[in-house]
Amino acid sequence: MRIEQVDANRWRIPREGGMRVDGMVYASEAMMVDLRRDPALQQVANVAHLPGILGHSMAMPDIHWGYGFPIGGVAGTDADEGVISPGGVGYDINCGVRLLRTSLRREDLDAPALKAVVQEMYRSIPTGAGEGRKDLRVAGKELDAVLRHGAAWAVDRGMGWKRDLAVLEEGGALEQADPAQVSPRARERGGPQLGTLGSGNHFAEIQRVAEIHDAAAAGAFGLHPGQITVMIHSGSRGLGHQVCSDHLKGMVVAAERHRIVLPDRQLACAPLSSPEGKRYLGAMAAAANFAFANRQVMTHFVRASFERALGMTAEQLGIEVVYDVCHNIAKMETFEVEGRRRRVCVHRKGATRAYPPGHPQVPHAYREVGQPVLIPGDMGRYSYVLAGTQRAYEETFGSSCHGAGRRMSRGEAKRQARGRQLVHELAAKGIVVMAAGLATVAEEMPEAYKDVADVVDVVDRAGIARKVARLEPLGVIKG
Amino acid sequence: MSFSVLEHTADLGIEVAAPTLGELFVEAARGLTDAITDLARVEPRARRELDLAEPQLDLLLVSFLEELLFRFDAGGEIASGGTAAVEEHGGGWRLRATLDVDRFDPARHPLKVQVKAITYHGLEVARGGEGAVVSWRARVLFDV
Repeated sequence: MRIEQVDANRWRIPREGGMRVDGMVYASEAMMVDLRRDPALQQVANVAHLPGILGHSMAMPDIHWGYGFPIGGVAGTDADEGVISPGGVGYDINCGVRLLRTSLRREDLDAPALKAVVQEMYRSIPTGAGEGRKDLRVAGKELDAVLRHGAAWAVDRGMGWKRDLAVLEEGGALEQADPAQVSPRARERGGPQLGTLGSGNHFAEIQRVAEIHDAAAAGAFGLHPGQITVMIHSGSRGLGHQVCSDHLKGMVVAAERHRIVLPDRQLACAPLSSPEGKRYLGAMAAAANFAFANRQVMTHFVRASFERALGMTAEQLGIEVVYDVCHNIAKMETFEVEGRRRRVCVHRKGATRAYPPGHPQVPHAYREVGQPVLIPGDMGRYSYVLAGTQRAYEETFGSSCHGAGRRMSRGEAKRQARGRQLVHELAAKGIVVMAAGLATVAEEMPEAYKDVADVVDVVDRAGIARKVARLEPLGVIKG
Repeated sequence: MSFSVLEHTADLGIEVAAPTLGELFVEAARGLTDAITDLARVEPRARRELDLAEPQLDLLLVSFLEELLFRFDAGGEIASGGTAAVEEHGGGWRLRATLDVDRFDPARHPLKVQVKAITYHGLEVARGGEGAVVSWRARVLFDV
């Protein structure tokens, strides 16, 4: 497989064999040294085989190996002629990030106060595998409402403020949701898990704004230095995982019928116009809405945690939503392709929408500066807020990176972590960690990930997102 | 009979080997359990019957492990072992199994990883062995 350098941040994989388009990888020269030998690049080339793919098969600088699509993969397919591929979304449908701001500053939260908030959060938001809430279990018609209305369902039930919905990607619900396509099995798995964090690299984190890179954009987003923020990184739990498995299986079996020949079974797909394609799109959107609702419910419990710990109301504390983004999703969006306006199914698997200034879908308050792009870092290191750009809109179907890619397997991380008291190391840095499983803490150690600062630098230099602010963790709850 | 863990940057896989297909599937079940928690601490406290069929053998392995994953995630059940028969049936393959299961209890079972899904990537169920000695092996990756 040939790789040609386009510029300091772009690398082309020229079409060959069954590839319908070129691949385009966003990475620095230093990253490419390791990447050249990485099977993830082959995956970028594989994705280029998808029928109806437009532009390039792309990968963001947090690229790493995934199922079918690499993580960090972006691919747009034509709405009429193209396919939809569950592997281009991922098992954790609408895994995403929400950022809350507060009117608190770092100095307002002394060590006991910080600990108290973290403890309240840990008590009120279940973490860990299979964990469900006892105070909130949805099923039947109520679950249908969650699947149809997403975050709005939670707000209607008193878990949030109406104004929260204005600052969520898609307003916190995808229209194409079709609850009937979500199997009884997915409902059984996911119903009890609404309002829970999950495990692995999911977290809820209290942060401070450590550095502002773009004062105008930060101001528009309501962020200023030293401010206390809260970031929630979570997805659609067992419901989304099951939806993906259910529909992927159908497509693997049907692949022969549609005579779609692909280099990797996990790229199994169906034409967007086919019954299987429509069913998956409807199910995926429903699962995405479950995740939007999930992050909304957790927002409610974060607010409640601050209230109980600090003895002030969430309104007094100014706990407002900054934004909420998906980073595992497929959406029908409109772009100009080869001079024509077309409806494109944009697959973002470990990639985030990054719409430009002026776009009507960017909330009014942010429209002059562009859509907030929330990039969770890894545990104990920083996270970033970026803004979308016109260049992304023109080049990457309005997409940017999503976080730090893993660079170490879980086994390797555990071996390297042996003997290290990670929770104590973080505590020594002043970071309070409460985790359901210490094994996860080892696997999620910062060294297991690429440095998110490097990833963000590449997208910034490539012009597909602009650095706005850097956030540093103060307290974390994890599964 | 054995299973061993495969290393992948983002995920987890197992390689399984056994003299018969039925034992191979049971070993894969034990491998899944050991990915989630410590297999040694899972006790055979109840019995479950399973009867599944798929057009292809490797799809059957995925369906079987998906069924176990569902029972864990939705019902808190985890398998310690058991017996299984896997045979060709009606143009496809059929599994009939009796599994020993335990109720997942965080006090007894330390959680290792949350397995989100059983994937098709690198999926293999193959017959091996030399001459008269038959063996089976399988490889399957989990999304965690």
